[in-house]
Amino acid sequence: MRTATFSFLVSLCWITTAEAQETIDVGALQNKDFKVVQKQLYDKENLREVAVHAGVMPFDAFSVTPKIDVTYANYMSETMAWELSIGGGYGLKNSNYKQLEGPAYGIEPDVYRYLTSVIGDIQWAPIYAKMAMNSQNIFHYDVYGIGGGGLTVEQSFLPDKDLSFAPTVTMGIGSRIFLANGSTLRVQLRDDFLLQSRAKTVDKQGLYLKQNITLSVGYTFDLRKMADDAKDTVQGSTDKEG
Amino acid sequence: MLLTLLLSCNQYEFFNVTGFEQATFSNDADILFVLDNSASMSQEASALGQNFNVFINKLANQNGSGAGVEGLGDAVDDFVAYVTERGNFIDYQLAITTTTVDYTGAGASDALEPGEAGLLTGTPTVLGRDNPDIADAFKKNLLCDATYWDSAELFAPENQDPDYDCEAGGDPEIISLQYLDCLCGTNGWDNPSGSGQEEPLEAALMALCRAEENPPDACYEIDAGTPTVFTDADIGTNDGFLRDDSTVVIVILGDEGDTSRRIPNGSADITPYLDAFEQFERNIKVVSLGPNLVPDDDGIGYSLPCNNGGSTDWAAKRLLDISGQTKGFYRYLEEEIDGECALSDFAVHLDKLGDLLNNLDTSFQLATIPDITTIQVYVDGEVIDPAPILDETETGIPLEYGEGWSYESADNAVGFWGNPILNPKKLGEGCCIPDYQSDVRIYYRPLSGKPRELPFEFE
Repeated sequence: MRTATFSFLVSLCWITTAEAQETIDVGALQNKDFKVVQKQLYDKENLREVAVHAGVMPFDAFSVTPKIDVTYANYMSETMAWELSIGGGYGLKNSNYKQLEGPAYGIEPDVYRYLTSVIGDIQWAPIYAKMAMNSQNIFHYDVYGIGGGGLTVEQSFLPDKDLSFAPTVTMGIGSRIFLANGSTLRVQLRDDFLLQSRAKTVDKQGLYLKQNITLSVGYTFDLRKMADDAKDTVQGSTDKEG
Repeated sequence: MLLTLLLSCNQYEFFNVTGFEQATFSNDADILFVLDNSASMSQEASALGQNFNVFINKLANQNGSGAGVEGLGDAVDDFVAYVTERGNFIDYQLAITTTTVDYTGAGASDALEPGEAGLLTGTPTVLGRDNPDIADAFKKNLLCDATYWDSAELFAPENQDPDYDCEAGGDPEIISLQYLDCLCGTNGWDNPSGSGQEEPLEAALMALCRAEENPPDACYEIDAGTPTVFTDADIGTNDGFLRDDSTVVIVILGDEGDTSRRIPNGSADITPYLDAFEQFERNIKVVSLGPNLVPDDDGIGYSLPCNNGGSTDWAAKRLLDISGQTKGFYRYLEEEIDGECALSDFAVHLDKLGDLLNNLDTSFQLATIPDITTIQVYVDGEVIDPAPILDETETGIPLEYGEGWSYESADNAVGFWGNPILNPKKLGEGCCIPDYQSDVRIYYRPLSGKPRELPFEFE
């Protein structure tokens, strides 16, 4: 039975090969007929990364805030991850504020300076691409969006130094440029929406909506690769000793 | 575009902050007396001279600020005096000019003479509190150089005091011919009468212009194309009168009100002078001892029951208004007592002037009406609490406060109560009157919303 079946298949191949030498009209091919996926050079599924971001909040009318964020991200798939971000910074008076508080105006806006925040977010990176620079260097990058929430702590510039603990909703977009060593550079624009209670004006308005928009550049460390490297090092040492 | 939309969401409330007006916190007070030197004013000038010691005694502790200290003992005494009697530490200067601005044709000659068009009069023209004989020196400047004496009146029998002893000195009961001869030298009191157009506000303005190193535009022009009597050649002619960051107190003494040239006759709108004084960027207060201007029962008009000087209601009201708006005070030269007009008590007026100076450093005016609940007060970064009310009238008007601050709606000011702050970090050792050098900040949200026009668009 097996021999008969094998003979049939061989003869079938022969017939098919013979027919392929003739022109066959299969009609116009359409996009939906194709699904071609190139294997990503830098895969992210199961990736765990820690990043340090240096950023600034430049868009507030009365303050400018240098800021550092430390993030931990865990990729559940090539496109989805959850991330925890702990930030710290210190808002400084900008030129508008200084002009107002000077002798000419004698006015102080009730501005709160950013101190710290803890934000949890979901990261969605639907775009992965590579780009040639000067027809020589090729960069692999992705584009992602984030959405999440957390808590932001701010303090009044005015001398009462009132502390505000503001529930925060976060949105943002960013891009991750993959480096050869497995690390990445992240460029990100994050917009935190704070619902802020301000002690001196609670009679006037219960909660103020405040936006902290941060432009940041981060450097990530691939924990998965670091673990693998460490394992290899240990394995290498063991082999040598063996 | 998206970013702009997003950023426009940020909302901030604005607080006024008072504390940059360092003149308010300075203990330097430059006091300019502007005297009506017309014929009807000799009685008032006499009263001022006779009672001037009240003012001097209120402030002129020679151990106060401006006097040097020798050694630790003096310094300790000085400090103790400072703690117990802050008023003694007002470092004041006194100067006199007259209400005569239009000097051409007035007086002995057409040339500008001391006391005219804002020029200070007397020798020396500026009297500092370090002058050991400041009261006598002021009286001499006042009675010998700034007052017009009617010879016929002065030689009248009731103005003679043949027993007055020049050597013995002392304050006379009346300003007699003999006293004036002793004080000024024989006939040294014989000054020409001032202009019949009394312009105390213009005279005060010109006096400040002459003392200012960089006079503001208001010194040169009344309005576009109408020059004043002041030119660049007059800069520094009152040199030494205005000190950096000092408070200027203009004391106007006149029975005819104000007929200054920047305001049309018949109008009591003092805006031109408020604007002109503002250009000096100083804390300027006006105190007026003027006509007996009494509001009518209907609260609209005014009458002048004791009006020997022949003032009009609008001329008097100018002084009343500018005194109120600059947070000085207005008092009557003459009052109706028992149905008769009599010279009011100058001792009381000068005592009040002393109080005004003493309070320069304990009461701080706010630029706009505050939402009282939002006022926050800090001295050297330390919060000062509102003062508890220790005593009040039956209707709830506070009479006495404990330590802290209070808001005085009549003056739109925050006043400090208690003892001087010795150490801001240890308010328990003394609170709550700030030291002159303290960084005092008063924050408040204006009732009107935004404090003033912002230098940029912001919603």
